[in-house]
Amino acid sequence: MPFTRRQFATTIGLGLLLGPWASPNRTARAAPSTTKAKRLVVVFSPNGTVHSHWRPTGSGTSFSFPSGSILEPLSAQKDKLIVCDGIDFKIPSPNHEPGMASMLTGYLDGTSSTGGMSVDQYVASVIGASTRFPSLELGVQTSAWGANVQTRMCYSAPGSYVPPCDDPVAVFDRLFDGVSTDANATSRLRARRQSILDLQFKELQAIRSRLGSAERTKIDTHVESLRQVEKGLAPVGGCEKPDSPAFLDPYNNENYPALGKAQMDLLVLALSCGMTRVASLQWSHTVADPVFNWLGIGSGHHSLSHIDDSNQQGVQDFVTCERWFAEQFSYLLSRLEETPDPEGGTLLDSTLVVWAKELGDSRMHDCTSVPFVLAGGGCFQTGRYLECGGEPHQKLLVSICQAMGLENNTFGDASKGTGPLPGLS
Amino acid sequence: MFSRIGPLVLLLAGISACSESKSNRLPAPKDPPSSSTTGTGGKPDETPEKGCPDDLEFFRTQVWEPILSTRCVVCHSSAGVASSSAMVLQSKASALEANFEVMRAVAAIKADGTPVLLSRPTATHSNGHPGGKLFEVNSTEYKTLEQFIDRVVNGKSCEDPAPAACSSVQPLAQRVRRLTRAEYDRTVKDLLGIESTWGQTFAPDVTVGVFDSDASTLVVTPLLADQMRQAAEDLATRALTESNLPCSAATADSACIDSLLDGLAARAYRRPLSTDERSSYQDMFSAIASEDGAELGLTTVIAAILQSPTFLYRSEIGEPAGDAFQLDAFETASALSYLLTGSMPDDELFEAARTGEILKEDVREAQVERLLQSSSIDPVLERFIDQWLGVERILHVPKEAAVGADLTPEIRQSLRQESHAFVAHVVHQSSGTLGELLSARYSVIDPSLLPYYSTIETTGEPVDSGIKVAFPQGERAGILSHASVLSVFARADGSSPVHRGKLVRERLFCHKMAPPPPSVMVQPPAVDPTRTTRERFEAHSTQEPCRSCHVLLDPIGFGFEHFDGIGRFRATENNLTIDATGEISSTPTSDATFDGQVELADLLANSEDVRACFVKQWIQFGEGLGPTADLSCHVNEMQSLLPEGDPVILDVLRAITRSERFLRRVPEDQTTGTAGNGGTSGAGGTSGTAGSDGAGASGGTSSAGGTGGNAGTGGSGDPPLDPGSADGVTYQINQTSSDCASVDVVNSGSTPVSWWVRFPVSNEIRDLWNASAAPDQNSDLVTFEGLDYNAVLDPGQSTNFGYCVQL
Repeated sequence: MPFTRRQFATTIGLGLLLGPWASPNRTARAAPSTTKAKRLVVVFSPNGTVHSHWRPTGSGTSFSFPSGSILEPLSAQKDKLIVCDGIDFKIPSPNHEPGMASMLTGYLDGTSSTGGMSVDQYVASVIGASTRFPSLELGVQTSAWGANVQTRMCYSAPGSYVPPCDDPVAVFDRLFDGVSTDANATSRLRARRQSILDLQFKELQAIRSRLGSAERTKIDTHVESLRQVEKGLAPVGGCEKPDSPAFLDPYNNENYPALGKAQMDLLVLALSCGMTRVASLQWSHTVADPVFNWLGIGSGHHSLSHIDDSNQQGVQDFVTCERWFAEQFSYLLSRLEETPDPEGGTLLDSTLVVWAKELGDSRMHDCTSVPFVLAGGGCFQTGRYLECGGEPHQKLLVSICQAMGLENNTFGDASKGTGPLPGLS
Repeated sequence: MFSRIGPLVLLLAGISACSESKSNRLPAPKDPPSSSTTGTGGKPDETPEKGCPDDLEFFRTQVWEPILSTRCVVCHSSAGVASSSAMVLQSKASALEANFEVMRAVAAIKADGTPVLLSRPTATHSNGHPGGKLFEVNSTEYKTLEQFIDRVVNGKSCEDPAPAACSSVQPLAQRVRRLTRAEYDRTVKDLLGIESTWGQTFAPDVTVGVFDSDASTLVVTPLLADQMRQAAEDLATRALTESNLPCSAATADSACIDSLLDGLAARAYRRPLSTDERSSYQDMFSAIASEDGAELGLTTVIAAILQSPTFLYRSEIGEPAGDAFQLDAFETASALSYLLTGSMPDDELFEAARTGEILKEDVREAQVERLLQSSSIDPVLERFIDQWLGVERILHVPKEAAVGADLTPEIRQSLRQESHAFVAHVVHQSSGTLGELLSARYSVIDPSLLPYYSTIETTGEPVDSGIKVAFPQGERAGILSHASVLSVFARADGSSPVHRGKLVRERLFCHKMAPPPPSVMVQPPAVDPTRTTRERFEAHSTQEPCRSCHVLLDPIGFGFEHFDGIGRFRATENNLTIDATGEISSTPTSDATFDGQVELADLLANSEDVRACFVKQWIQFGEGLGPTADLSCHVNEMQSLLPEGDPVILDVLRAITRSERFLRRVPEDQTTGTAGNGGTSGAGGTSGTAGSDGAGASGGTSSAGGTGGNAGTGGSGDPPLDPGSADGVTYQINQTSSDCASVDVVNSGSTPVSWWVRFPVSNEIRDLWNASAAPDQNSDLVTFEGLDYNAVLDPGQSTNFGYCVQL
């Protein structure tokens, strides 16, 4: 990332610029048009699908989720959904890792107009400037293997991961850090933190001047990150500080359901408080092997995902796990639906929610017909089962951007397709 | 429209395109079947080929030994996943000339104007490289291959010295290294005397390959910046009561801050502060103290120190020295202490830096010896083991409820502790060698593990961190038999020959395994109480297309079959006898068969390949480099600094500190690729995926008993080819889907035959198993031949191969 003049400017006298950034009233102003979504939420769950158990029956606006199928838990919210079938990742060597890396980036390519960013980060770079967090990344057990191409889906540039936070208590502390009813105390805390930041900026510049270009990029990333910390110095306003979620070991497999629920609640809270307009929730990561002991299933999710139709019990176990993810998605939608948008309507009405996966048929390790479910947002006609017939997923990413009021016509690798997904809008 | 040409097709197409070039003879992608060549055999060419007189020697010393034999041949062999590419090599030493011929042909293939031999391994080819990026453009490997191409294709550069000639070790670039999470916690403890777990809660560092110490990936993201701020504020508050500060919070004043800057701040900065830096802190203190009181002034200064970039990044920038830079005294002290203790310099090291004595070689070596002989090395050993063999993942690896009850959080802790205590014992109380680490017939355990390891005798010799227990004869050996390692490399509900074979292949031999190709069914075998795990998994290593990769993994992993999914010994499985025989194959010098984990452990402990890999991994871990870093010369240098034979672990660390590049740095633009960002290993290149529109594979069903013909690849000027098959061989094509076909081949004759069949395939072949394919450039005929395991059919014997085409 180039070190711009703007960044240097912010290293001096930042106290002057502080102030109204995080006020929810101010951020709520932003929607450019009633047909655009105001917020974007990306949800990921791993290890592909089994299409025969995923696909709805019917077509267009007349469709249903068969009994026992993966999406059946979403039946009550069917009218809020668009089920997108037949979207392909047109990438070389499709597999877990390339699928994960390409899913939100439209293929990692720093030369594209979207700069190798994932769609959430790209949208946040345009609409996130006015909020405390340009984007918020929440995870559920994404990190036991460290950060790598398997475990990360959000990118700020090719090879630069935007990591999720897996611990709800830490997320909570981050969201409500510095929130106090004592205005004077808050203002003094801010001043102390600002003086520390000023010192950091100064030292970073001194170090930077002694380094070559690759190392300077490292320092520039640090400066950029501190600028976001700086934004957080202002109180969030609008929201009362609720009780913190209970601490749960974020790495313990048995805590998976409780961690996920806590993260979804925090995600909705952050949106409703205007702390961010772009959020993601990442369940595990590709190749992850969580064990759904709470459903009485003893094989790991990744092992189950590769079971062939000849092993009916194995496939059924995988479907049961996938139905559980659908239930979680349903819970998130319900929470968004019951939470009012300060400007009227519900959060779901104005929030585009995208449930993404990294593989199509997990048994084949391919990225053909990767299952996507879209919900809410008020930008697309919902209540539809859309057969996309092998369209490249770059078009879906363009559609997401345009739904958020952006005007880009390509995303990622434009040679695979340009413009929005036909039939979506 | 999208490109619908897959990587394989391009490679095959590359052969055709290339064989039109008159200056290069093109061998078949594998040894042609000896009994069926009639036309194109014999001497290469009448016209003299371009090349240099010593090409073969150049190939052996510069290309084969350092590059191909270790990094390519695993996949690029007839049994490997790249067996259908143009580059099919043989691992045996006697195949040198054959390999040279293959590589000479490959050297002439270009795509988009660039030799594929350069674009594939650097993942800059438009179709990427299914095996990932192996090295950077302009790395030593790259330049070596460039020169190889220049020699054998163009007959140029014959007199030039080889780029990989190890007269000088590739220097490291000037850089800063952010503290890893583990280094952060260790440093805080040494700095403030506070046991910090903050680092553990930070967003995980990037793991490239196995380790999380790759300096190019250690950055401060927005999340980490928030986390580090929170940690610093908390630690600063705790420091008021828990740390040894020059004054109490109530009495903090400018003089106290002066002392703090001389002491705590200088230790945090790992160098004295400049006048300017000191006045910044003094100004900060007075501004805040006047508004908020002395206590907040003091904590703010401490919090600022803990967030300062000088604290968070280790500097390796250096001072100008000749044509390069040399780390200064304080940087040298830090380089030594983080390598050897995983933390900041202690008082003695800091003093040696302050006086400048550390710059003297004898003083430095004495410091190295002091640290190596103390327990301060242990956190480094533990961190290495935690990552090298995945030991730390025992704390949380998910398991089915049925075994989860035995694998309590306390047991998990004790299992990790076992591996740590064992390594410390080997290093400090015993031989300290890699061999003992891998093959010891004992371990060091916490007595609470005795019920878990129920076959181990309950008497053991008390040692520092537990009891030293002997393993039952023939049951297990070395660290790979620890339940920590065995549980991590297993499935949630059982053992896994695949995971355990991959562990050995990737982490002991440093072989990179390609993922399964797309469109291959990868289902794990169903649990079956009437069979052993081995019986269920054996299909992998006998059936294509799984076999090509799994033959490299499973036969090693089967050696661990006496251990269940959480590392407990089992004499039988489902009351069936366990077969733990296995084989190591496709390695430069370690191929062997064995029976059981103990024999496997002894083989690994004596393997030169494993030793070289171990040294390489210590370099990556200790020097903060990713797997694509150019280490070719450095590993050679390191090995020359080590005594012959089984490496002593502390000798490896000692050698790193004695390497000429340890304290030397050059500006970024004087290095090749070492400063690159290793953070991504995403897909390389672009290409289409399989289409879904119909159209048949070739020909439907046909049967042919054709004889004669010519199985060799046709060069230009050869007579046109006809469909047919080897003498006595009949075949039947069964179309299995719109784009795939399965072909049965039978030897109906009376003598053994190396079979081949040739028939038209109207579309380009995308996937292929159990055979190699050579398309004819003048027609749509494709000649299929068997691979090493099915090339020869006895009379009456049959085989089967298959392929899918691009539609």
